[in-house]
Amino acid sequence: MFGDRNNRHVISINDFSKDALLELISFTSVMKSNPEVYRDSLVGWKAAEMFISNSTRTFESFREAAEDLGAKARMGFRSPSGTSLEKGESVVATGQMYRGYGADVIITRSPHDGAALYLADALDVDFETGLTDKRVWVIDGGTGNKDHSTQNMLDLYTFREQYGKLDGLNCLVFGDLLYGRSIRFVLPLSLFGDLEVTFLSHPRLALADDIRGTLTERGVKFQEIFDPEALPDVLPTVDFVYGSRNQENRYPETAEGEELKREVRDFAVINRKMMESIKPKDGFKIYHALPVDRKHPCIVEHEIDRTSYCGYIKEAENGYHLRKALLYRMRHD
Amino acid sequence: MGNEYIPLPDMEMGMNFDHAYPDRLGSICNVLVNRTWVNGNTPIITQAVGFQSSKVAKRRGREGKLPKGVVKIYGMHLEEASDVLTEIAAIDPGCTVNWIFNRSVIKKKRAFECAGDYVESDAINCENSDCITNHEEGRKKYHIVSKGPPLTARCHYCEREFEIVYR
Repeated sequence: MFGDRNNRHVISINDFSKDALLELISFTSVMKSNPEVYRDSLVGWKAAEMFISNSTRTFESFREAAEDLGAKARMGFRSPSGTSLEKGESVVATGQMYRGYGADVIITRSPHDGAALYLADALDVDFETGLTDKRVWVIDGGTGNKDHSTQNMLDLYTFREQYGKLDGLNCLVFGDLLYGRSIRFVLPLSLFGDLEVTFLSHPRLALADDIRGTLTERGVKFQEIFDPEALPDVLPTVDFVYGSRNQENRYPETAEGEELKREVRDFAVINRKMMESIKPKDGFKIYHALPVDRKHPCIVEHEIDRTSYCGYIKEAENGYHLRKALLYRMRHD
Repeated sequence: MGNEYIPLPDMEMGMNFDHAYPDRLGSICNVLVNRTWVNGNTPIITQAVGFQSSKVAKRRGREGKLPKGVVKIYGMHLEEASDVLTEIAAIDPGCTVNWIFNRSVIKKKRAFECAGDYVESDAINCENSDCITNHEEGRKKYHIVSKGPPLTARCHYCEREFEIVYR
């Protein structure tokens, strides 16, 4: 999977070929069914987590994955609160410090676009000597509006686990398509062929141009609709639904951003009543990069958690397994 | 301590950036002064303003003549597509770049024609306010996707494509 020993940073899902993704997904299955075999496979390794924006699942699953494979994973922080970043320290300086403490891998999350690549570039050089330094690998744990590569990988793993295949899937992707980075799973999924996607969103949160362009280039059949009333008509035709909550924390901090929040709130929600009124396909699931917002449900009502359609809890669990497999391959390939 | 006046030699060999916008001279000189020169010897670099130029007037969409700026580098040549010339092309794409040897102009190009495909620069800022390069100090990297003018760059980190409009 990682052919090049000198480049094992995990930055963008677009850096991974179809074969590399398949290999990782298959290996995740192997590891999930035989966890004992791999228990000590990262002994002697240290993982650090630099989360400059808040996280629950990504942070915890990486930490547990590393520790369950025998690595030390105590270094790091899940939000910048109380760290030297608040005192004005740069992200690169913080990364250099963790490298100095012996980190073999740094998982980072940032609100800024390109932050993981920037950190990886900086840590590839020893600033004191100017020489190349390949001691530490960087993993993107969700940066800016675009990248969340391991979320995309775990989604692909979850789909394959549920449907036994990654080609020929038909899905509805809805919610915040503009600021939601998890919906970018459609890009790697489109590598597997015969993908059909319906995108449903508020017009102000429509699909980003780069996704539209790539799907068109790859010949994916897709349509964009902006009418929430269409939900009950589309649901019975798809294998699964993927929702992206309104990413209000990424909207502009201006009066316009506030207006956007109000305008798009409660745009479209799937609830139990809607599901009871339709006949979904066999194996139909609802996926969602959590959390489900109780105060302003924008994708699914909480009552869906207790139905057979709920796929998002399993999806989140799979984050742990996929990240274990990824860490293992980074060290042992 | 009084001012020192250094008599400028005739330009036997060197470079001349002509018909530059006067308000860009400081930025052009900054790029030249801050680069690492061969053997660490920074050459004599001069700037001058006040000459009149019909080319500058034409670039501004005006008739007649307007003040121009001139920057000279003594004793050194810069390579086309180098980081420095690409940065200068971003700052003032329409200025004229002359290579001088044996007191004669041996090559003349517009700055945008001298831009490379890739540049590492402190002088160019990514247009995306959420880009990490606008929140961390350090070298910024760009891929030049079109030489325009003006140049269009794609940020290496956030992948935003934008026209470099120097202000």
